[in-house]
Amino acid sequence: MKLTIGHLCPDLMNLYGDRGNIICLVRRCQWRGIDVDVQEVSLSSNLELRTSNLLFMGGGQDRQQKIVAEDFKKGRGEEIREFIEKGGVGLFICGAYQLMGKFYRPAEGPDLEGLGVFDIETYHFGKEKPRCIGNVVVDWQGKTLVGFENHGGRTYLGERVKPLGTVVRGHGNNSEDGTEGAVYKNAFGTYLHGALLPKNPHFADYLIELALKNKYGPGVKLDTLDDTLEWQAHNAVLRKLGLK
Amino acid sequence: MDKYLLPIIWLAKLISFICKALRLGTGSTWAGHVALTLYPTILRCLEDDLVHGSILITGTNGKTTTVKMLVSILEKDGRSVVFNPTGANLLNGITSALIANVAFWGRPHSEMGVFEIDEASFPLALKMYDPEAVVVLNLFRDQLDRYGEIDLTAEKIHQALKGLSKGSVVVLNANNDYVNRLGKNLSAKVLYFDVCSCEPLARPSVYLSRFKIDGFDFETPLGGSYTIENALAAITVARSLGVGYEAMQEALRNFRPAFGRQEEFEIGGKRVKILLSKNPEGFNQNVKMLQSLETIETLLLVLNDNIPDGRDVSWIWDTSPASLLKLSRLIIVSGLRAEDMILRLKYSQREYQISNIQYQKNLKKALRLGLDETSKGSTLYIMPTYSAMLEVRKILTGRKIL
Repeated sequence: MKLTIGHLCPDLMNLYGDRGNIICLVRRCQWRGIDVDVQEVSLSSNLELRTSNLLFMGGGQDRQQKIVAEDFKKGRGEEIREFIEKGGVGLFICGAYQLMGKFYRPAEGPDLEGLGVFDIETYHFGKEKPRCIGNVVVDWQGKTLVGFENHGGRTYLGERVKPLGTVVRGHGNNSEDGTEGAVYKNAFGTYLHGALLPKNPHFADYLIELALKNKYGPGVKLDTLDDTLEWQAHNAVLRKLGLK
Repeated sequence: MDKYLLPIIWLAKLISFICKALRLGTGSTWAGHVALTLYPTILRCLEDDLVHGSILITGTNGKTTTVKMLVSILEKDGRSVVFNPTGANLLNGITSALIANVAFWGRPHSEMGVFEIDEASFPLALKMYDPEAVVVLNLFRDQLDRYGEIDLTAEKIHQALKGLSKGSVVVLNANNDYVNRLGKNLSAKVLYFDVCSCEPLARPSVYLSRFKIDGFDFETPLGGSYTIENALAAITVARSLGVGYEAMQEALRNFRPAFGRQEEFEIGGKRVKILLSKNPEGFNQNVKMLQSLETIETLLLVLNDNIPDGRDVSWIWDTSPASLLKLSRLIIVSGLRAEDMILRLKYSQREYQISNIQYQKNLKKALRLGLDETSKGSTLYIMPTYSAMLEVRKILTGRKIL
């Protein structure tokens, strides 16, 4: 089997160690003997996304995020939407998550138009509302996800999207409604850094399996890995927050 | 001097005295804090009294070492210099240092000041006064939960530099993209330092750097390419102040590392070398430097997530630690977030091989283990984050483990 990962704008959207997610996906495939290839899809690239089985984009700084948003209007955005509509697997963190929404409304100045993959809206209320910073624990399908969030924007979910999980500790989408992240078809948006996947091996494998099932059919089953160290790091966060 | 200033200096000195008497280690900045609150322009007043003004050094990495290098050079040249102790690099720390520098009736002991300042506080300081010279060493991603995005930091620093008058000197690192761009549209005189303009005279090593600049040979007992950058920054400032090359050469040759920055201890015939590694750039630079060794017997990594370290440990995924696993016979991992660091090591290799990694969350026990596993005459290398470095030093200098 072979998994091809499309890493969107790795040069511009590269904050907070999010590349740890790529490292994690690659290693967990390699350790199982699954071939894996990472295609870097930078702005100038004319690579077609349909050659990827899993799309990833990390968080970026405001300036870089604007450049990407502007560029995506020229066709790449439409291609990403199509990829997701057809059931392609995508993981979008923080700034990338916001960018996949309908819009980002800053405290001052014009809206930053998003791709509309997720039916979500993000608002920045200015300096009076503090940034959402800290360790997070989310309930995802009855299991926990742990990570670190750091965002000024607050995201609100529309009707055509489900939350990724519910907040156990931390702020999540907006620190009001207890939701964290968003899911639409096989696209996942979240505010969790950490990096997210290494400490949440169940979620990493869930994404790998989804992508391989898309490609090779529903019979795909992943070999079990020894995840003692992964759970040790996961549980250390839970313990730190008094949840274990 | 304003009649209210002196009583405030006395009050601040009293606070400082009490902090010292009560051994409040963190108290070294309280005096400055109180003085700044009661008398917001005190920093400018005290700086004005320095006959030869002051120099401000900022940047993500290398501030402490560069301040120490420049101070050593200036002192070798016969000048008396006041500087802020490591860790006290906000406005309150500089103010505390200046208050400690004045005599009872307000006259300063030293003729000039050299201060390190946090990159976020740097623009605030320039709003208060115009230094003789400022140095921006480098700007790298560091603790986004504390400093925010690097673009924004660079922009604020640029705005502040634009406000400097013609008489000031701005010293910039030509090899750091963010810093290089800061030289545009300034009224102040801009001097660049550039590692590419200096000729290395020795192979990279952990214990020594030798290089030639302006036709003069320099040598300093620190390793890593960043050491040469820090030295060049200090040399550039010293040169602009008219210091002779001989004083610079001698000061750098006899340089003693700053607190936790390649600082070395000897314990029972074994050496301990502390390489502060607080962000991806610093961590990777240290990894690069350690690669000049054939092998490492024992290495201790300590990852904390206290406020001075940044609460977010995501940054470790921007480091490249793979070669440490190949070089080291034993890697001990400790600290509040040791589990994250172990995971980073595990995922750095294709074939995962973690038999040379040992997990010891308790730092004291980790140090004990590290020393036990180090043979006589050999070195235990330690790469700690900031608060971890302070803890390591406290344990080692307190000799608590012996």
